Amino acid sequence: MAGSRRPGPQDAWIDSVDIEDGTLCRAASPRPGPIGITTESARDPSTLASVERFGSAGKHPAGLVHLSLAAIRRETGCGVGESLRDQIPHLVQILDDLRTTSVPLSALAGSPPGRRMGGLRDVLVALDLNFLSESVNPGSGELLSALTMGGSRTAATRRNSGIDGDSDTITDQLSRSVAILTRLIVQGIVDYLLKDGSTAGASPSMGSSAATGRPNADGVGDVMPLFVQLRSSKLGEAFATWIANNWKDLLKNPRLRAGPYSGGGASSTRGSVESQRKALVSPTQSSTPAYKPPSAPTGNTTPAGSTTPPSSSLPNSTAKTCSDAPKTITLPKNVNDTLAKLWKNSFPDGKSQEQGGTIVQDKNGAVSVVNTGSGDSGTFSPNRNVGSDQTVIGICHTHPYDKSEGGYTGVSFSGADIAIAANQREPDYVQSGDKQFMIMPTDETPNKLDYSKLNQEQNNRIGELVKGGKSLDEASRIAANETAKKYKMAYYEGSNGVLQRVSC
Amino acid sequence: MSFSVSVVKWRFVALVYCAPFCVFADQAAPDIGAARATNRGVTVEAEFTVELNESRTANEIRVSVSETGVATVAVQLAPDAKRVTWSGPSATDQREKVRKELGKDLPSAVGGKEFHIKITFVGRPPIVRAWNSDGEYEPLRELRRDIELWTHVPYVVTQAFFQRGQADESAGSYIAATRSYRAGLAEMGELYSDANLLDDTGTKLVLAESNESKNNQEAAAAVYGRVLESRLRAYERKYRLKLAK
Repeated sequence: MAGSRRPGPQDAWIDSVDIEDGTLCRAASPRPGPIGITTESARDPSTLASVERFGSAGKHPAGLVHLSLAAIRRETGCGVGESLRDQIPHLVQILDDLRTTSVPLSALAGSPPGRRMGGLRDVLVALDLNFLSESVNPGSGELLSALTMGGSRTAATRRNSGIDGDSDTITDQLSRSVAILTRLIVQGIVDYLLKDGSTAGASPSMGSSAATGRPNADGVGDVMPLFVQLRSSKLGEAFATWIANNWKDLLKNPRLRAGPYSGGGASSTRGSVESQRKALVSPTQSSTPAYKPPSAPTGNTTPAGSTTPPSSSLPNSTAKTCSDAPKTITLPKNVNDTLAKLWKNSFPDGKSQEQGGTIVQDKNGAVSVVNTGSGDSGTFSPNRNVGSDQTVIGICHTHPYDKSEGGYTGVSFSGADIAIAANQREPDYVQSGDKQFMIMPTDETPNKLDYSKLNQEQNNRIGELVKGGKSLDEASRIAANETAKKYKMAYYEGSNGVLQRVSC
Repeated sequence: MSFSVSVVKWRFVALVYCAPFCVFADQAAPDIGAARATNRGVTVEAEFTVELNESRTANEIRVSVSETGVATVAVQLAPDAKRVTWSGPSATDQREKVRKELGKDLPSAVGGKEFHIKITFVGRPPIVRAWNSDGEYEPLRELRRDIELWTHVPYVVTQAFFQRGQADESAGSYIAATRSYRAGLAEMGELYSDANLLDDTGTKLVLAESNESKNNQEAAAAVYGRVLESRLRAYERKYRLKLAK
């Protein structure tokens, strides 16, 4: 069915559409396909079950996901909603569970805050976000209020009309609840980042601020552990990537700063068109390249056969300078999974054997790892022969050290690795234990580095550092970073698919 | 040949031309038809075979190769050591160079026992030269080195050192194992390397040397062995060779 809207007056927040600036009013067009719950969510039995339990009795509420996205944008003042598109049915399910296990609205007024926070904490646990429990504001019970009010209104509608509930109202309340929950979570992330800034010295990870032991220029601590935890949460990779690419803007967003909640949500969303327009435009502009999921992610499989979800993008061209390179790189899930699998296969019979492959992008933008194979204990030869519709956008391999070799992990690039990355003008990814590394040349990097000379120099430097008391892995990381700086390359360190630039 | 100094010192001692290895001379070279190479106006008119024998008190190296590039190499590091043999395609990037050198007049030699070379063009009497390392003319040295590279002699010698190191390591003789592995690393040099090789063996070599300096001989031998094995496998991949036995 074509785009349409319900007849009658258009409400400020229930029916609002995103309006873009310009001399003409250009309204967003509905997506092609059936109107109602999006195709994906409509197939999800949990969504339908939740909606039915909410009172729609089988009548599908219109545009649940679409309304939720619009509500999230209004509630948060940023574009985080798109990264949660696929998670909205799951959020609805969790919220419905919370609603059905919560005390009635009438009892909330006298109930202790802990009870309400406990409900929200349950949601955080269900989403694997319990690490945010100290940061997420309970929101003065607004989430439960919205949920319970929705249920009450539904019940009242049923009683008064004698029909199966008002599904539009139910959908509105659901989408609003999803939006409030999203805002509370993002607020919690902002609070977490700011709190972490005051204690960054305790952070043990490899991020840049951890290296200095001080909060970085943004007043926050090491952000990488947060991204790693978000990535493993139920909110998924796309959400983690969005946060990784936009966290600086979130810190500037007054709706998301810690402190008493002053109304970025339901009350203020009924405000002026101007305020909505500002919320639509400014917060989504990011200083770092924003995550854009591949347009056609389906059908992209790793050699292991896993399907690629909508996921992160990888650099497919060199940056002008090191500081122009992305600060954070989030590996697509299939690439990260393949790296994990390669690492797992790196110790056949307990003996180290490097594994690797070639990272390609097809004409639809989907990224995968092909030509995976084995090398030996200390070398790997990538095979760059790929399909005619594929472009090589990087190579990857593992750095295993078996028990007889000390079992080291976190061993970074050799000089040969770096020389190949520079001369081939392609990023190189390494998995060593749970640590991951990436290095890529920039336009300022010489493209004809002496392979043997660089390898020898880097090995000599690692040797010096080891003699000076550094562990092999630490020495390799220091030497790799030094070489990256020398040749103006962008060097990254990280884990679980989230890598931070550390060379500049 | 790319023997490093440390190896040359104790290996190049004496030479005895061993008759039993003349079996190589009896191998008929395959007919290669009209394929002939021309260099600087000098045409190599016939197919040929080359036999190179290097014999010292500590080890013997025997090479036989035909113009078509099928090589046979045998290396024995010590009289009581197991002989390591290998046969397979020679290195094509060196073949043309050797062919050009053979198209010239073979330099004369003053005689000796360490090196013996016999080149047989079909239908002609064999050309034989013998010399010692201390009187090795540069053209002969270059020819010998190129023949060794053409026939993967460094690889087979390295394989022999690797096998001896493994035997030492298994016997708990870690210092001896390290010595063998290091000799193999010196023999191989950077011949295994190519511009597409993600070579992390240098990092492991740092670890091996660190272990050795801390007198952790067992760990040092283990890592040296890993590095040497890696470089052998890389060499095999580079030239698409089958494992020497």
